[in-house]
Amino acid sequence: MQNFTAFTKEEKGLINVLRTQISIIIDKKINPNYTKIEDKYDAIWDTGATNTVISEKLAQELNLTPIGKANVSTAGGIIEVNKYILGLKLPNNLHIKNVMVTAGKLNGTDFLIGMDIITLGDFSVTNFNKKTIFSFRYPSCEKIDYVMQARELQHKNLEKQLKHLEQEIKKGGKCPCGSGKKFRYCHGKEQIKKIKEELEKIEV
Amino acid sequence: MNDNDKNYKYFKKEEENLKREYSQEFVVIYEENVVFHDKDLDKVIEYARGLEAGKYIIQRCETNEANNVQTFHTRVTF
Repeated sequence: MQNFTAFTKEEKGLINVLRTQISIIIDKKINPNYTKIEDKYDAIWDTGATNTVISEKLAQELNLTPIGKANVSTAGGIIEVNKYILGLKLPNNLHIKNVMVTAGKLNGTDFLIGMDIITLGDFSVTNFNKKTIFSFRYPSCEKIDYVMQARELQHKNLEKQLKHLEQEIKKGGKCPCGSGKKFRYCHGKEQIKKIKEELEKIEV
Repeated sequence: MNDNDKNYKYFKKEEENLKREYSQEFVVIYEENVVFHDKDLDKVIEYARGLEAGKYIIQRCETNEANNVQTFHTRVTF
């Protein structure tokens, strides 16, 4: 696996908003009038946002220089809004350079981290033991597939069952069904056939 | 009208031609002309660093209309 940078945010319970602190990195040649306000800003990770958004108010306070316009779909139709170029420093010093951010009216946060950033890496949200753990790595370097994990687990369990049945057959005991026949020639044979058929059906 | 608006007006006026010529590339528009273009945003920004801020714009010549419009399903209003 290639090298990557990552951060993990472990919550004390279940949460309904994925929120992190971020910093901005300014290139003075692109944003010469930049005025520093804070070291860190609040950001919400939003899979419903195609692009990363900076609060319009914050962009003005920071004196950022617009570098063009973006088309944005709103309830009232498509409108044009300013966009800016920033570097973003995510938790654990995960640095994403040259991000084109769109200005918008945001409530309760400074930034929305959109799918433009999320798709640069691997993004996971797990809720094991009723604790939300949000993790992100950059760049993307491995596939995560829960269906495949379930299949692998099922395959492993069936192999375990098969091994157990084969051991029972080796012992040469009678079938527990009470037929008086050896397990090998009674239900054992049938059960092994069934497990082997199921194993063949699972794509791992 | 400031330089940013003038350059954007030029981009909108020439949008169809620019999309044909620079399909899927970023263009730097300065004094209502394309002065640089590349698919790599980092290269485009590196070029733009040599220009006076506020006097140019960077636009992507996106030919897929679906990718040309940003959508926000939650939280944000414009």
